[in-house]
Amino acid sequence: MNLLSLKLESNTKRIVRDESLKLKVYFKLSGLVRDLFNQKNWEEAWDKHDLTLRMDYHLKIYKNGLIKKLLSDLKFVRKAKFYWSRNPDLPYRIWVMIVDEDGNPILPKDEEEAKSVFFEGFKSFSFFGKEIGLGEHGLIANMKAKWSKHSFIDKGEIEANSNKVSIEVIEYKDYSLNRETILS
Amino acid sequence: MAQLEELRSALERRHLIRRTQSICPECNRILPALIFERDGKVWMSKTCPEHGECEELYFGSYEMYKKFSTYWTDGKRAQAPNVPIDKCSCPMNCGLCSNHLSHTGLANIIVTNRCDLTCWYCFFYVKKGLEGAYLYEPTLEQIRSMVRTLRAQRPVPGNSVQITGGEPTLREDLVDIVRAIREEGVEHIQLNTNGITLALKPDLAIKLREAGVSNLYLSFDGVTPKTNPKNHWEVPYTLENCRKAGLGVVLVPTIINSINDHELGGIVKFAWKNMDIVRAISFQPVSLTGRMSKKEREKYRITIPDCIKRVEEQTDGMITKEDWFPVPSCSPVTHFIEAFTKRPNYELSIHFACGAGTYVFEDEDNKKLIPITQFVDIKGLLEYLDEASEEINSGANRYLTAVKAVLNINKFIDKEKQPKGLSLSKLLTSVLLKHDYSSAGQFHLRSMFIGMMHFQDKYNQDEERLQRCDIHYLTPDLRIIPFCSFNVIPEWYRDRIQQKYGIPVSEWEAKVGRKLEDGLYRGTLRRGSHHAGCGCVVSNNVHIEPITGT
Ligand code: SF4
Ligand SMILES: [Zn+2]
Repeated sequence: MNLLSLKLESNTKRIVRDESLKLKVYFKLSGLVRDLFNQKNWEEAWDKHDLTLRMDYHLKIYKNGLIKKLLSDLKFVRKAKFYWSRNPDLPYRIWVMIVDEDGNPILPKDEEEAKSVFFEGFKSFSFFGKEIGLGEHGLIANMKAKWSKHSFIDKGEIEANSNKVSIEVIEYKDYSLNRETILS
Repeated sequence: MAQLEELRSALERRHLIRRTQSICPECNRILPALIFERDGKVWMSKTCPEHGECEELYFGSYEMYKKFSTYWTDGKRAQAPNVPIDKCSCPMNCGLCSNHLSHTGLANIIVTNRCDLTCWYCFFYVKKGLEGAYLYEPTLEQIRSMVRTLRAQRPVPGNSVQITGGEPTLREDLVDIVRAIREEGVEHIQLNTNGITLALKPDLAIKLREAGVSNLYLSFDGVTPKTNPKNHWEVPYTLENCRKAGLGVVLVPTIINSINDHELGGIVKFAWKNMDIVRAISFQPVSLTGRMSKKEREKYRITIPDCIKRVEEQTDGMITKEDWFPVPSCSPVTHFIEAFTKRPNYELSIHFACGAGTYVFEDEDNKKLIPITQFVDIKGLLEYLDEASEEINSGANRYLTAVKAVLNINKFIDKEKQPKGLSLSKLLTSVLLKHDYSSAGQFHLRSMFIGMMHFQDKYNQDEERLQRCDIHYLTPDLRIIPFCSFNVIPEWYRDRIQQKYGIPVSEWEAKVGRKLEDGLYRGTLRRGSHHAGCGCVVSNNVHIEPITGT
């Protein structure tokens, strides 16, 4: 069993149409695929010349309503590359390098760090109020994570939705102000 | 006090990248080593309990190091090793051992250590009068046995040989050697030469081509007599003779900081001018052999990113630093072919810090060099091939996936920017589906490859690089020894082997009835500082004067 948990957070509950709303989506993949991602299996895979595990993440943010509107669509890939390390301080021969979606090579110090760098993270988004539209809305994030078949894991896919975040987009900052006051 | 402060500040600015192993440049003791970033560059540091700390520039740009390292891919290893060992003991048992990670990409065979030049900085040729100087010339039978060892390599039998020296053209039976290597099944034969004999003997290039040499690997250190005293005057004749023979040429400049690092652009332009016959340039940032003080090392040291930067500056931005990829970035292509054919394929799995390359194409209309990256999304294409191989390996129909992949190649090519007369998608399709030499050859003929390989030395030696080396030497004891063991620790490898299988110079002289120095080049093609067609940028290469006698 795999489990994908997703949490959506916003910096505010109400914005003016020309202001921007900041959202953060936290994700964490746990369960079998995460458990099997360990040094023993990296070594076994490496011995079979099975050298790279790709995780394809697909993250969408929707505005809920009668018609669901897609606000953002982000695909990114993380790669775990198994390689023979000559780090004399490492008690293992085969280790992992993780290349994140920004092309940063990361050499984790232990398995736990490798798992969290590979299966967890957050993404930030920002939308103008006018992109969302005036009124009250519910925003939701959806994520799919996908991996291929490897010597230690079958191919798989998992999908999850986040909590709903309510947001109101208003025309003017102080909603008590009326048109006459502004014009005067 | 100020020194202490400086030291403390240098230590504080270190940011550790990885740990590896290296050797002490004084005593060859195996040492733990740190690779770290400081001030935007990558350095190596190691400390010998007896000889103290050695800190050396490892890679001139941290940004480039990061980009290159993401292409890290271990090879399929060389099965049927000659040196089976349980515990890794690099670099002490090279031969190849069971822990070596790359099969042979290019196998060097030294056919002689005689040379017709006496370059002051060269360690490769036999010097008379030097104690322990042995003249080394394996017999044809020995050479055949070495090649058989290469061909027996699994999972991929070696298929590419470089005949090297000394100066290989000094061997009278060179054509027979080439034939023998071909007969043993090697398809690609490269001849490493200073080009002088080929300049002097117009028919030699034809004979070598007919016997099976694919291309020359021609020393060419600069475009002026000062930077290239070795063969400045002779190269145009060599090129002309190769042109007549249809024998391709790879120019091989060794780049030394403060000596010829201002001429990389000039070398590119010279190669471009001769693009009909020059297929590639292989820049080699100098490997600092022998004992050298830190000050001297700082003066001469240059690394791959530094050379790439010089190329950008000296070609007026025609070839930029974004145009370069590390050698192992080819792996997705190999892995795709392997997934499709279900057979192990030839793979360039060297360490990302060892080499880099790019392709440039001539735009017929604009008469400009266009790097491949300017009309192909290389990164995207490699990603896509990676994905396609994963799909096949996860059970998708390989024929359908391959057809889909080939159809999708176009997405990564900007046809508007693609040089006129080139159909890259067609060439790539045949590389991916036929994956044979002829399709790679077509790709080559319409372009020039510019590559770099930074051979190691005792100061920057990294066992992680050595373990992945795919440039090897074949030796008469039927070992296959990585280049950067063979030449970095010659006292364990090169010198020992040449002594064991060579003879003292005096014995050789008595045997052949002539003196070693009789083979030296007398400079017959040298006429002042320049002549029409000499390697200078100021000259042209159209009117080569006929050679009158040697
Ligand atoms: S010859 Fe040296 S620089 Fe080249 S691949 Fe081998 S280890 Fe790397
Ligand atoms: Zn020492």
